[in-house]
Amino acid sequence: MTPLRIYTWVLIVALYVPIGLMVALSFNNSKLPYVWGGFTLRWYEALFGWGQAWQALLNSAVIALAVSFTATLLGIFMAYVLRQDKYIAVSQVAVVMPEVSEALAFAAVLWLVKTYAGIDLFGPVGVFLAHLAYTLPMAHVLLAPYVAYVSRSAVEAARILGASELRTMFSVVMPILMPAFVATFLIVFANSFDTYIKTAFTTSPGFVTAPILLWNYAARGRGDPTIYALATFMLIPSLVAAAIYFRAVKRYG
Amino acid sequence: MGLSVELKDVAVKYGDFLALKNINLHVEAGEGLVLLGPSGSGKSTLLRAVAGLTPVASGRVYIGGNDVTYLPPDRRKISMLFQDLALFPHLNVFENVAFGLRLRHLPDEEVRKRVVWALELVRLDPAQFMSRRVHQLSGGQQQRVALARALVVEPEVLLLDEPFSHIDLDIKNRLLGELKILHNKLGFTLIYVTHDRFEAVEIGDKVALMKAGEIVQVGKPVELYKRPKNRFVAEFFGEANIIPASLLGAGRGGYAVVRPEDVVIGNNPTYKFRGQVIDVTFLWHYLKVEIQSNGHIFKAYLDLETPISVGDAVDFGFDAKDVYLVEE
Amino acid sequence: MIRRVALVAFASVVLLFYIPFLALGYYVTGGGELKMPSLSMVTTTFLLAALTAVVSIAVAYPAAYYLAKRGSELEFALVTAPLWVGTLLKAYSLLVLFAIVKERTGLALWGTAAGVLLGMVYEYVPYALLTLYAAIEKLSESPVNAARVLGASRLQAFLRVELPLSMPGVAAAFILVFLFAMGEVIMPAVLGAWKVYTFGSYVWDLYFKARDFFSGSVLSLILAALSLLATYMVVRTIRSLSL
Repeated sequence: MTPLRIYTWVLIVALYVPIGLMVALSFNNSKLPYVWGGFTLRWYEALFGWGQAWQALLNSAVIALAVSFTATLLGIFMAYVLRQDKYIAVSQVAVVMPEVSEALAFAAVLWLVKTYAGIDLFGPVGVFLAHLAYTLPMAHVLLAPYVAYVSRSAVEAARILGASELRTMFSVVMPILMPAFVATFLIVFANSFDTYIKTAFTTSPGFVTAPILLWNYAARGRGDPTIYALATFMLIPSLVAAAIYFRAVKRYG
Repeated sequence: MGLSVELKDVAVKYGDFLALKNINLHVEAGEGLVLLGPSGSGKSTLLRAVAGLTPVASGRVYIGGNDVTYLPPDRRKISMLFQDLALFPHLNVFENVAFGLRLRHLPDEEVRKRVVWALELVRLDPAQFMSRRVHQLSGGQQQRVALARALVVEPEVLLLDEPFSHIDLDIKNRLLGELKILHNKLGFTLIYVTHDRFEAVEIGDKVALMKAGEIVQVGKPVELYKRPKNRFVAEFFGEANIIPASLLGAGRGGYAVVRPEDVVIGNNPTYKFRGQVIDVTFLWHYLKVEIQSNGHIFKAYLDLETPISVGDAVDFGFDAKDVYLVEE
Repeated sequence: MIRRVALVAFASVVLLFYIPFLALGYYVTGGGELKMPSLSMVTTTFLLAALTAVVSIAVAYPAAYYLAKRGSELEFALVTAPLWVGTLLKAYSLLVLFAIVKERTGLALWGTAAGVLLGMVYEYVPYALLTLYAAIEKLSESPVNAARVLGASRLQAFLRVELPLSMPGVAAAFILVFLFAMGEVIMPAVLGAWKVYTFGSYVWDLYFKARDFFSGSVLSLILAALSLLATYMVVRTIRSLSL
């Protein structure tokens, strides 16, 4: 097993090298990525002074918060009531759908609404709805397996001990599902915060999110330490979410 | 001091399937009744109908003389121990036991007092266990917590759905003994579901034997054993030799039931057979011997010192007073 | 009450996710001139997706095997955590890495198929790993023990017993990664510098550059149908795995 273990650790290191390098370079006192010019915070100072970047990060955070709240809360009800495979399958399709197909479809609807109803939803509303369209089924699918931890007899035991149906939902069902709720919330948040394609298809030029801003540089192959700093900032929600997630799901051992 | 439970013409349907057919049953206040039967016989369904967890299609359920047929489970003055225990995984031992008390809005001091009382009742040291999480407990300890949770609300009727089917024999026997003592001490009415006849006689003042959604026979264990209503009861409730009545010249079809301990070796009994010994097993208190005769295999429980071995040709039989005839 | 909330939520899934595909249908029935993707583009996309799947599985299998048998929680967490990082961030960090590699070794990866492949493997190794892990973890130890008792070495037992038993997992991982890779847009765009042109990039350009809803809709629907078919195959494979 030892060689396999070494291999696994090499793979782990390899997975973190590119991201780690980018984070390191955001502290590099040199404009060139291949020259180490010593430690500096000046790129972060530049980022702090860059209003558009702050606006973009804020936009992403607000959308991600709204999306993850809505999707997870509705998702928990769906997972609890719609347990049969046929319902889960309906949501599963959404999870595996290629992003570009889904995004184009959503853009098509927004165009139709704009053309025939005269309502322009491109922008924050369009982005929110497009994100919700795939995170809601995602939350359903992610929460579905945890519903099994709420055993039928635990619910019945609560009823026999004197709890009403609603009381049982709040004192037994919800607390048991709480870690799964947190975990799902985090997955959805990280996903929505990072998503580029769906956002690109549904936003307006006036509504820039962090991935959109990053794309403007990435798609032209441009490197700039201030952008590394921006990207490092964008990593924070994912890493925090991942760390909390592993703690949350551990409770179901 | 316990309430009586009565079912009148109760039927339960799952879709088109009739899970219970015309059940009539009376359990006295403070009595211990065991619902015994093979799997699928409807015994758990019957228990759930008493609890109000499964709606009845027709008939009436009375607890303490009051019609509770349409009352929800939380208003039936009952408590229940589930097969999978149904402990709340998100709560510690104290909060699990206190769950029912909290719903009754008792003051904290009172809740604490009663939880301690219940934990001591089931022999769990409150100081040691109260703040533990339930998944940190052994199987036997979890059983005790579940029992404490069920008892702390001082139910008039305690329902148990095969509560000890997944634990070691030793612990099971100890818990059964303790449950019996608690039943005598607290005086609640007890209805206990099991498929195990050894458990049934351990706990039950009365046994109701079920098959295919019907109660076949209700009575004290000794009545079911000595005077089984039919062949099914004779076979399910203890070991039995069941032979066509015609073999004893006892006419009219039907079967004769003879318990293995009533089979004797020698020439003296009323009904005599001759056969060959095909198996001898040492079973602590007796020898279990199988004898082939007239195309039947007879089981006999003999004294440990009986000089007998496989291959022997023996005379054996039983007395008329030990034969019980059943129709079917 | 609870039921009603759930049904409303379910209805909004249908409304938000499924109805938009009808809008694609609307544009398809509207007609137009179908701009077919070139054969070389289709070939590139297929080859790239297939290679991504094969390489990802080859890279992930030994680690998945180790994690399923002996892995610690920490190792598992570290391997799966990259799933949390968005594709665009990964692509951008590789872009930086490629710049350094070019400066140090002269090896140009940006704008080449190899670079795009590397990026896609980087993206999909954790997916392949999770799928393989799930399959290998389910395998019982007893067939291996039986093989050992019958005289097989550890390696032989692996090659003759465990590897064949884990093949459904390999198949599921292949289909999954292949499917995701087929619709990939970001990696080819960022790392391929729009020179490695794939199906996903094409649909992208049809919308953003040509505003050709008709061709875009047709191709999107084809991609969606392919993915449904592939998913169906994964589900069937996984089901046969658990039986």
